[in-house]
Amino acid sequence: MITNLLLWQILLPLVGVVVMFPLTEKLARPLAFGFSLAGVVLASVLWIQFSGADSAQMQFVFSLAWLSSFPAKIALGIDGISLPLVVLTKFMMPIALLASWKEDRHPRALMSAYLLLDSAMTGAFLATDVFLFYVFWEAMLIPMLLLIGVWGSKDRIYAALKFFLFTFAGSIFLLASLIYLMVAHRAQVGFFTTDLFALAKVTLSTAPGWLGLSVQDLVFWGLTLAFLIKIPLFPFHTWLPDAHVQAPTGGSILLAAVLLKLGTYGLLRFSIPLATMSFYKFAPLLSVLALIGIIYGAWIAFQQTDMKKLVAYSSVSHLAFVVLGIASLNLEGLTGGMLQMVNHGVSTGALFFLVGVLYERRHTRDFAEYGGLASVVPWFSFFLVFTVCSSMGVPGLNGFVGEFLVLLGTYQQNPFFAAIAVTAIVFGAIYLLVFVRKILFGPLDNPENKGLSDLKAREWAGLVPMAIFMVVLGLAPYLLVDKIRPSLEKYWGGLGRPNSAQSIPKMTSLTNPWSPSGRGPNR
Amino acid sequence: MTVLSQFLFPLGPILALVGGGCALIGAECVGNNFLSVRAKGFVAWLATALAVALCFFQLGHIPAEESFQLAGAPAWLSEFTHFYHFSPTTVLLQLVIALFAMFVLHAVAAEFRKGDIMGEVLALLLWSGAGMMLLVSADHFLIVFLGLELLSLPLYAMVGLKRWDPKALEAALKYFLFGSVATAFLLLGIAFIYAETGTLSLPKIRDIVTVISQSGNLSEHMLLLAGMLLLVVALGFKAGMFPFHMWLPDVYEGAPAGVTAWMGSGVKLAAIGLTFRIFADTFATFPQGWMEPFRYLVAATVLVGNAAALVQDDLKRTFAYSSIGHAGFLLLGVMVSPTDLGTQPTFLLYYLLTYGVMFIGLFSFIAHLERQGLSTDFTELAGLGFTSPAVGLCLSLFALSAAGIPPLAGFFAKYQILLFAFQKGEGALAVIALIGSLIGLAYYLRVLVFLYMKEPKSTVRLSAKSDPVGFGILVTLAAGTIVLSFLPGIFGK
Repeated sequence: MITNLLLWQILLPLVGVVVMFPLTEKLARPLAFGFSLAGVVLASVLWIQFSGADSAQMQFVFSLAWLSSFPAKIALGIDGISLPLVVLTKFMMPIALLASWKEDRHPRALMSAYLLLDSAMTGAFLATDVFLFYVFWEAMLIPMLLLIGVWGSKDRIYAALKFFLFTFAGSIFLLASLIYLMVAHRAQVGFFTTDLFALAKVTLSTAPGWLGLSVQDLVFWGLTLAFLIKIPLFPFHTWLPDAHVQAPTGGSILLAAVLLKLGTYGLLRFSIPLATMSFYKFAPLLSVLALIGIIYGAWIAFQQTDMKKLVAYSSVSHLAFVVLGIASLNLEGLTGGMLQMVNHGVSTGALFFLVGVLYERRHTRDFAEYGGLASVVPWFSFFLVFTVCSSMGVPGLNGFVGEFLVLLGTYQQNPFFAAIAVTAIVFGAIYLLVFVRKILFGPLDNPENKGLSDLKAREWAGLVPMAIFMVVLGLAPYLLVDKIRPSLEKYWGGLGRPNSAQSIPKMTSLTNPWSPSGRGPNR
Repeated sequence: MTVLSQFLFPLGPILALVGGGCALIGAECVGNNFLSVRAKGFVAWLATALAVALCFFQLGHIPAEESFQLAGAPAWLSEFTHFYHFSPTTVLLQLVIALFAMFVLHAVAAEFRKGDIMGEVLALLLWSGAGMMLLVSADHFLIVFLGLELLSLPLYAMVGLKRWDPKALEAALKYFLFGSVATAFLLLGIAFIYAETGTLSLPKIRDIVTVISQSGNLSEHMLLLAGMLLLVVALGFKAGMFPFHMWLPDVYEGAPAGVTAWMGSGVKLAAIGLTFRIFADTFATFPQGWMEPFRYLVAATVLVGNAAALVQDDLKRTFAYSSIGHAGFLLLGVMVSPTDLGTQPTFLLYYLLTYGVMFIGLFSFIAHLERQGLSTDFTELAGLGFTSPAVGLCLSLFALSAAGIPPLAGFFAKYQILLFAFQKGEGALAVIALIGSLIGLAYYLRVLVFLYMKEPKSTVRLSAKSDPVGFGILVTLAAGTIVLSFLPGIFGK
């Protein structure tokens, strides 16, 4: 029990905080880095031991009664949906720490915040108990609040509060929906439970009620609103640029790479199983919002003169692509969505890392200050071009595979949607290439840029793993897909595959794979 | 046991507090310097510690019957036993009150250490604690009234003890006037209910109300309804329910911070405990129609309290308004309390305990500010999180717990109430309460913003060296917040 691999994914960073606390500020950085590397090792072990063939089921299951006279349990499990995200989290941690190495204000507190964030994010991906999930979901807000608010730039307090309040506003509806499900479970089965799979068997009425919304619709929106804010999907995205711009580089990396994924993960893990019919009903609406987000994000990104803002809006656009894939609800779309989650994590993480490299040297993120850097910092330029290629989906690199599958899935659902989404690839190429041109090429006319130093060892250490990842996943996506395919098939196979070119199937023809009659996890 | 010891046993904690108060006053009568400042504090502490110990002892020896019986006592003495409720729940409530008193003592005593009234102040504190205990254990409207007065009168005096401070005088006068009006409402309500039922005993009233409700002709019993509404007003005053909350911010602000800590924790507990007793137990079988106006008041209390707290710059006023928001949450709990819990508001008690711990913690810190002669503005917190990390951490824990951020205790407290609210079909009200706590989050986060994100300019000096007791209390309460978050079912059995 105590040797459970998943438990230690969560506990290890906490141990790090405890160890770090009585020691000096100087030791904080190496120690935290050491613990994050140990996390990478643990995650690798998990990746190897995880059985791809059984990925539809929860593996390494851990369950422990937590609070006496309280139904909630510490219930952990990992399947194909959470595995890539947990590994991504652990993989990005040391990189984020490297990006924050130069921060001199309260390094011990800073490193503690990172490790606490690590623990909470991992916990949220691993929890199979809705109550535990909610605890982690909220708990991760506090370290992020402090990261932005204490170590951020000028308008950090505004950004930190906006981040916290936006997310919390979604969470209260999430909590209300979860409690409603628990109460409904008690009414139908006879006892309270917080087990995700038991709650998925609760029957929720689809009869239209208040405002034409059924009970299931209300539960669906309660859950989904929280996730849409977190993703953030248009029109809930306004907190993200502020948070990204003000956050320190490491915070931005984790925010983009992992925190936003919790929203899309939540759609897969909670919204679909707990309110399947409503998800089908509203999937077109989600697709439309996603399309707006894709175009709008790309368009606004094009207008930016602040590098971080550009990357932030590109995140809005990319995450909307993930939502488009999920809302297509077929295997191609879901696989593409999953891949894009991981790809976006690495590519955008790398972009923020690179922006941080420049910012550390020049303390400005304004395009106008740069130009012609390619001749001064060739290695930096190489990595930036490489990352941009990955981000805009150049074939051979990771971004292409995900985007392609999402488009394939969307086309089957609605060719018109796919047609619109394709244009976004062009938009994406435009703003990213313009960004590269303005920074790296053209005349080197700002004298302050002439003395820039190229990448240091610390920065190499952060960038090389991400670059390797982009190539490997671009050439051999099956390495990941094989691990996760069965759990995605559960969404697709159990829900009935929509015929191509036919829009969303009738609700009545669906069986819920999480219900006792459908295919579902062994519960 | 002899009859006398049987009779006194359930009253132990109350007697301990009353006795402690009498001892302090007695010492003051002998001479102002008969006991040193330290000794006075010790006597008061001893009284609360004795009360805590007696509560634990009672928990182990509680009789099976809910009300205590006297074997072989004369009839006139047995009659008294119907006045007083003696059950695990009342003992737990008394235990929490005694604990609150114990942790408040230091902040109150330190405030008046320099003057010559410390003995009297502590005596008043102990007596009001006895009043709270009596109030939550009442089985009879006479005891309710007695407890309420024993609780209120010492507090009126305590609020105004700083005679040189016009704000304190204003607060005392306000508290006294509003409190007296509330008492008048209470008395009239009791009179109406007596007129309808012919008894003052709560269990008997419950039986009669059940009969009346089943008969279905309520129109013949309008006095009963009128009496209940008057009680709502009276208890609304004491608990800080909208629209009877106006006195509360002024009084909490004007009173010395230690006294405010006592009001926010102890008085709140007693008022909610009594509200539960009357509305969720005595009148539980009354047709649900009466809840209709109450529902809007609860929603308004949560929203108004939290929204008004948002615009304050003063710590005391902020947390005064926040206590109104919490009162709204608690009243929601009273409203949706499941009937199968009977007379055991364990989940409310958990909320009250976690909230009280946080409130005492924050206000003992504010009391420290006042003793240093500093203002009680948010700006006094600026940068404190890094200049004195331990204090900063404690305050953050209190703020986050009160805001209801998991995994801290305050979240579990709110969660239990929401669960029961959904179970009772009050989902809309639960969502409103959640929106209230979203608004509340904004000002609790301000604590963190000032502690960690502003330029350091705080001149607060609070460390284990400068004020060991005060620092120890702060740390203990913060640790309590963490420990409590692992024990949401603490009062279960």
